[in-house]
Amino acid sequence: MWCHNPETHLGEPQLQFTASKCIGCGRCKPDADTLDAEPDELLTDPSGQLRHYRGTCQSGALRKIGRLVSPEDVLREVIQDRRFYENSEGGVTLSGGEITTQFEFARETLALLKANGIHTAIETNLTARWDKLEILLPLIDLTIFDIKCMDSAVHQAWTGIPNSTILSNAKRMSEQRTPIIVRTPVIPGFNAEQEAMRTIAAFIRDFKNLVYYELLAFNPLGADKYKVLGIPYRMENAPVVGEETMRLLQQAAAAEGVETRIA
Amino acid sequence: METIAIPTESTFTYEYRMRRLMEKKMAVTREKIDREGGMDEGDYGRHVAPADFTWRFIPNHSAGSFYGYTGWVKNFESLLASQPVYVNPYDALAGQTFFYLSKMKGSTSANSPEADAVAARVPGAASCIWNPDFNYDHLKPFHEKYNIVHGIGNDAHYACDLKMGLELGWDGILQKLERCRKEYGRDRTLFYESEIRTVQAIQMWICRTIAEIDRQLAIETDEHLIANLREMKTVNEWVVGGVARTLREACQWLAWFVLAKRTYNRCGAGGQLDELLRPYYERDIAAGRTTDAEAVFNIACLLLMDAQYYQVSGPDVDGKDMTSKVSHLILDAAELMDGPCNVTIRVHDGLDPAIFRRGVELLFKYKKGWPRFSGDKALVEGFMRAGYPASLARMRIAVGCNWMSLPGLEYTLNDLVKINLAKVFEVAWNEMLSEASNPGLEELWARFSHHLLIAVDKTADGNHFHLCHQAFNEPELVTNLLCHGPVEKGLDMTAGGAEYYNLAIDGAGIAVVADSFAALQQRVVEELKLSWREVDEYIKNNFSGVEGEYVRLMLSNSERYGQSTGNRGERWAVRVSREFSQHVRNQNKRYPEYDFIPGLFSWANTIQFGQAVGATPNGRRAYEPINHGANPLPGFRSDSAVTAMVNAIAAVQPGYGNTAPVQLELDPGIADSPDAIGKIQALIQTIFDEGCTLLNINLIDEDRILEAHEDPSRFPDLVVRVTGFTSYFAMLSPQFRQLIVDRILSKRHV
Repeated sequence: MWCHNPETHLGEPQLQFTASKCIGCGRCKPDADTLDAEPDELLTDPSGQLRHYRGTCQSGALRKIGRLVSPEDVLREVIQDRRFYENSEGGVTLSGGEITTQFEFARETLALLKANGIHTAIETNLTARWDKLEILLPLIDLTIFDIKCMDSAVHQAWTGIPNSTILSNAKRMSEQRTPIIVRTPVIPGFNAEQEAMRTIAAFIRDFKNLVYYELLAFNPLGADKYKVLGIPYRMENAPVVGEETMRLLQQAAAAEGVETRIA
Repeated sequence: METIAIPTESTFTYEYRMRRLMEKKMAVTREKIDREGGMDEGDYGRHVAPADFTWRFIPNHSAGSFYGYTGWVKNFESLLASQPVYVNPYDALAGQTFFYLSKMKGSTSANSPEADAVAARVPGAASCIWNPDFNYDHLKPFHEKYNIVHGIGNDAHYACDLKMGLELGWDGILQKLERCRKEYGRDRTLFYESEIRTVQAIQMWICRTIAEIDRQLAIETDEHLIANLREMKTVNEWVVGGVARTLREACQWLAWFVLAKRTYNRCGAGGQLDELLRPYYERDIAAGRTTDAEAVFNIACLLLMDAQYYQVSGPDVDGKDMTSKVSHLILDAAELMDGPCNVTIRVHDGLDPAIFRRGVELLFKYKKGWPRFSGDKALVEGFMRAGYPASLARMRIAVGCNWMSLPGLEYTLNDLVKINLAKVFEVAWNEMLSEASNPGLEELWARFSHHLLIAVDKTADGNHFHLCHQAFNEPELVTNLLCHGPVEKGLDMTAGGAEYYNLAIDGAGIAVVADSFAALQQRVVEELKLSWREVDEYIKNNFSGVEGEYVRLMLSNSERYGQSTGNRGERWAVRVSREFSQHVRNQNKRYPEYDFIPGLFSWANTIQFGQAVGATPNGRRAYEPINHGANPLPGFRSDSAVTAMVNAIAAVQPGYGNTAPVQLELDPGIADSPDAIGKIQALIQTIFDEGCTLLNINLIDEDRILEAHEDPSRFPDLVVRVTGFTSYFAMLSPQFRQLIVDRILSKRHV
């Protein structure tokens, strides 16, 4: 519910309407052809107006978020910056959403990047089965994953799923050679407590391949995206996590002997 | 009643002194804004003369202004003898500018409301009050037609050999002049007499300033300030004629030369500052005459006095890195001063990693656009491609807004000559639509190339005209003194005194042209969404109405320069750059005595150039600014990706040793993580590995720039790198501030 990329939840392109960009050209008005339109070409905007996506909106008011790309398309784009990766020891990170929900694409793309000598990383929530994650491991140079909360019941109340698979996968990740970065999004009311950070830090303390642990403070920047997608934003009234709070949480985690950064 | 704290030994530190000097600087800046309305140019340190000060120039022409050797030397003498002198007892150095003589040719008196009416707001204006005895009416129709900044009558914009001055001293320069005058007898009398009088006028100015030091000594009661004033007096009594012996004397000598050429014609070209000062520093340290802290303070005072362009580090003629202790002290000095600063670090393979890192750290710590960074590899390779050896190429250092110069050797018209490529495009477009029965892409290209050639031809003709007559308009009396050739030959730098005439011609507006071609290719030729005549109608109507806006957006959403490597926009930009460069280089066949070198830069003319051009097929509305330099237009990508922009600018580098700078606006927040500085160093290194030549970086967050734009007075110390120069944001016009705001906010564009 705090995700900044709600457009990735459906796993396919979806329509978005931004009223402030509309110039009133009328090209998305329903017409005779609307009767034959596919469902994903129709959107009812917040004012109740039906809009027919015909690919003709130039203002960007009515647009499809997301596009279909092949692994080759990705390579063609990212390889333009190859020299920047080489000089900075950087590379390409597959993120989301959750990349394992597009598993084959992720696997092929990572393979193509590796074949071209590009450093690869993935960001994942570790909810996939281990046997799938294991397939990707030889293609990854760095894994970044979230651990949000050690208490499974609380985890389920806030995310909809328990954390047992996540923790199990995290343990297995720690036994691999691939370096890992562990992150925790700090969400008020959910896990923005020193004890919560301490227990996570204690869990990952002995991970030999841990590069560092990172805390990300919640902020409401994603709110507008929910609005234009017509999705309720349940974090509307959530407070911003202040600098002092983040510092205390960092200290609590670091006290477990884990290098802890604030993003 | 204000309580003034009397400094004690423990409080009269260099930091304390610099704070007092910066207070004065901020007060002067405030005064400039209040009394003069600000300026869309660099902050040069100039002070404002008292309101009751007046000075009338002495005309020597029936047209009412002054020209040539006689006119200039007489007025320079008069101005230096009359204008206020400046001594600040907290400073290490004495002196300051109050006027630019080159901007006073159009008024009858200094300080009058009319005096700066032309000069005040138009970048680079008013130094082109040309001697009417030499007519270039035959060129004016082309200047008008193609909106060419022709450079005729413009001045300075090349570097002197400051080392020569330090080694000769003012008396030594006089002796050299006398010696050379004897060799030429009567032939070059006017030149030598004018130069001798110039030096003597400068020496008199120094003497007047020494008298001011005496006046202050007579009334000063603070023992620290008295001690400093006495030292200042001793230094100046020596450097008025003698050769600098110590670091402070070297800084003072440089200060006088800098102030003299700044007063004469706004010249801002410095030199390789670390190498200039190193011998003096090393001798002083060995003799126990100074400390690092004092050295830093002296250098900081030099930087504060005038924001000249200096280079530090970089390779010597043999490729060996020149970074020394003094290079680091100069960065320390810039840090102590913490104001507008135009120091450039030359990035090359052998660069000292510590100074590279320190430079990036300071850039992020102070967020005032310094230091800049130049790319040795592309600069050297480019200049070699123009036919010069590597050793000479390495000597060509960053001493201007966007330009390099061979100290004391080269006359260039750097940054003074520009062709508005967008205007040339407009001419070609209008011609095609009115003449061609079958408009087409290659038809348009052929006309564009044809008009571009004419524009370049006429620009080169203007350069030649300038060189034929400029000595009779405005001889370079001050900078001649420290160049190799003028004094020896008795010839002005513009009239055969220079060793090399590497004349810079810059193109401006490449993104407007490239994006227009790309949009036409995509929407008209390939997608058939619009016809040629329809596009013409919409742009003639400035995209008015809902349908006009729709078409404008369609054109604007076409592939653009900067969006992606190898896309339509970039292919057209490369084609434009190569065509332009070729036309410029081909001028060498027409004028074998010169070497024409292309660049891509708009300086502060981005708004003016845009105002000369109507709506364009890239979806740009009529009279909107063109792109800045070689940067893509704002909104080139929804994420404004830095790497994409850099790749694009690298692709269009003309490649003959002049620059097409990268102007980056970065969020300061990117430096928050522990390994950020290293990553940014890697980014800068890659920018130069990709083939870029010069990098200017602004670090301002969006919220701050918006607040400052609304009320600049709340941010009096906010410094921005505008194009290549730095300025206090509060000093800029609202239009110029908007330009910078648009650049910084461009990543919001979707």
